[in-house]
Amino acid sequence: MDIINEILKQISIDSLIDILSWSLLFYGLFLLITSSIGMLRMPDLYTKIHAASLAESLAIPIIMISLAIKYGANLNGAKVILLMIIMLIISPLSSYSIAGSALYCSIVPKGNRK
Amino acid sequence: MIDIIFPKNLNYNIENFLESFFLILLLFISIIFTFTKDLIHAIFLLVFFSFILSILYLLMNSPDVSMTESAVNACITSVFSLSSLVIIDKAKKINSTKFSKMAFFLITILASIFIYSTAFMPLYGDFSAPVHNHISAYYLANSGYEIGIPSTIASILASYRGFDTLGETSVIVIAGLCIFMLLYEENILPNLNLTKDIYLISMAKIIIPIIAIYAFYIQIHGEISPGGGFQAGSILASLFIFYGIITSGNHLEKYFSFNWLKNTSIIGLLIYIGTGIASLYLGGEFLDYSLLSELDQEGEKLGIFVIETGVGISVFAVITFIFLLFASEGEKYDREF
Repeated sequence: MDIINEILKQISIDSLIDILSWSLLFYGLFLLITSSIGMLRMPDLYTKIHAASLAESLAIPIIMISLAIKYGANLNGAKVILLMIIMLIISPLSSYSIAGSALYCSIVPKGNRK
Repeated sequence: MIDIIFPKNLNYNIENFLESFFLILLLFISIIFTFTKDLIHAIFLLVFFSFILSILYLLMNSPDVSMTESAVNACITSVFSLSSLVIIDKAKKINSTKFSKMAFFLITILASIFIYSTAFMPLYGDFSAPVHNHISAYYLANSGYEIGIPSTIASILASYRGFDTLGETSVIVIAGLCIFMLLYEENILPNLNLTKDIYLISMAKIIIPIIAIYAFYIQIHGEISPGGGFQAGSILASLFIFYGIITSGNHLEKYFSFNWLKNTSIIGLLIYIGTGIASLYLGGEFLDYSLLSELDQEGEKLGIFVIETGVGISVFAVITFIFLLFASEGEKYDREF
């Protein structure tokens, strides 16, 4: 118990915030790499859009949250949060409209040919 | 070997690495661009190119240029070139290209005049050019108390070099009028038969107010922060292009008729010229804003605000106008999207 108490004494709020933001940053980077591998490997336009939207609507907001935690509660943090909200509104819209216009131009999904 | 790649006397910070990375990326994009044969690929490569260019401008501490690049080149030029591809396809089908000798003659004369006049420009990197001598130092030293606004770029653009900006605005308006003369027919109507989508329309209701507030913020804060008339006008126009693409363009044409937009673009230019004539009337030189108020700095602020408004109005009108013309259909062709 003494060892745990000593460790708890040494951990301050700042270091916790650092650990949280860095871990979120690496999680976001992992998701970005995953989605880019998916964009290269997926066979079809629609599945490629699915892989790309992972980066747009999950990885980049997570990276932005980590940056906002790092900046703290000031103007820069608020700007990053605002950017994240705009990103969350716009990126699903763009991927939706790409997929919708592909369907409109009658691009058939792979494995659905009759 | 390591010393050759990373010489020790260079300054290594993150900005240098980012700049060199993006410059190498630009080189690769331009090499790919020269070897593409598909026009749609070429358009998207151009968009990517100008987006990276805007990041580079931001790294080189010029947010104004970066904002213009991303708003005009990456956003609006892509829409224009994509919609012009559609027109090219139609023209190929109709096969109605007339060769006019008179027009060819006039265009040759104009082009030779322009090419001749480029001979008088200073060479790239010429250190005896006026820009690299006393002029920029003078602007940087005196903009603070002569013009009295925080943004030196806005003071150079609108006050010191106001006549150049007048030329740029009139070029934009003339380009819009030329496209009007080329593409306008009687009973022309926008024709964007995209499916009306509830998801897109409900998201547009969220996005459009944000973009509108941003555009007006840039317009009004032109003299204290990056931005100004060009950027605000193009962002506002991109809003209406977005709206026109989502709800089919007929909806847009109800609010802005072609004649209204044409007149608005000319009114924007006339506001600019009228400011210059007002300063002539008050006994100064053309575009000398300091006479508009009793205090010199107040007059300069007022003049810059008014001409930025004029530029914003005309840029907005011209861009919306060109988009509507590109996306419209007359009686002459039987266009189908």
